Amino acid sequence: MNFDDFKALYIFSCICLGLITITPILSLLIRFPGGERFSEIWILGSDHMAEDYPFNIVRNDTYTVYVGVCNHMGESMYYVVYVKFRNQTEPLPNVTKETPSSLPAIYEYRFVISDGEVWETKVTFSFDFDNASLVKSITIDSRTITVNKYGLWDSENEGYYYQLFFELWIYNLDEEDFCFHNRFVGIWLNMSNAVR
Amino acid sequence: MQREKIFCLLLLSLAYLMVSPLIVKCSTNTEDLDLVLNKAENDIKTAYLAVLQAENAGGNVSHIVSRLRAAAGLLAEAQNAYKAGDYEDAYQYALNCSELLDGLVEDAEKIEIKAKQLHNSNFYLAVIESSIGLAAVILCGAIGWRFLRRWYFKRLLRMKPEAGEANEL
Repeated sequence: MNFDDFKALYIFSCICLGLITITPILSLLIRFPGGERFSEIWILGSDHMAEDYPFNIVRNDTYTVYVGVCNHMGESMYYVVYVKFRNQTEPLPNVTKETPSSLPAIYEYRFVISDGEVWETKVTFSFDFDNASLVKSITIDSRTITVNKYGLWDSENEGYYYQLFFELWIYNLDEEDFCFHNRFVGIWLNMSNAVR
Repeated sequence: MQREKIFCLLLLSLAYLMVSPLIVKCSTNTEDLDLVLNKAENDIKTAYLAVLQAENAGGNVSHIVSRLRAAAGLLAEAQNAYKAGDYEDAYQYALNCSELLDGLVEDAEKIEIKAKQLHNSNFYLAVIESSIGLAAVILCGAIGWRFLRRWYFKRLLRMKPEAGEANEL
């Protein structure tokens, strides 16, 4: 090793040592970007598994599902989950256009969760109707909401089908209002044999 | 005369206490309800903003987030009751929501101030530590370099006679 190499190696070692020494101040000044920011929403059946979802509905019987949300947005977030009910002709949220369903929410859940935290709730619901083509009301968590929703006969699947779905909305600080977070989950309900 | 006055006053107070729930009930009209719901909604938004600021300042906001979550739950209950046409329940839930948020913004601000103070003191400590460390590295580096250079040349000079002797042989 010649003198210049020896000198360069020594200077390099000193610079490395210097950088290690100023690590505490660098950690306070430099903020590394976090990972991808997103939220999760899921729906589970009555056994808290991704199976046994309510499907064949009987008038005034009570059904249970679990809806959960996990925050990966890097900070505490204020969410609303809107519960909506539709027949087969009514619109679902459009994930491509990032627009929510135009249907009014029949029920809602609001919560604030920290980053990495999970919120989950048990949703119990039942339906009241005179015949399968007209759902009069829905009772969610013991609160009855009048819907008076007509269903259409699905000749292909031979039944009256409705959908109960949950839209995730997030509070937007810039707009100072809730925005659709482009996520939703739902279950299909067959009301064909609803009246016993 | 005095006794009669006191008696009348007591009677009036008693009557007021008895009819006050009815007064509250009557006052729960939709206009009032809208006002209370809007207030609860704005209270939550303000509190959420304060919590976010405290969190971004590095404060521990876990317990106020729990309070905020409970308040948000009450607001949702109020909205659900409103949708179901149960205005009394909606009014009460909205009031409870605002009550639960009382003082939360102040708490969040205190946490934010504390977090900023802690951050500043940590920053100054880090500056002092780093400055001392850097000065020590530079000083030791300079002294070390003098010794190493001397050692390097000594080693080089020691190698030369050996080469000479080898040539003589």
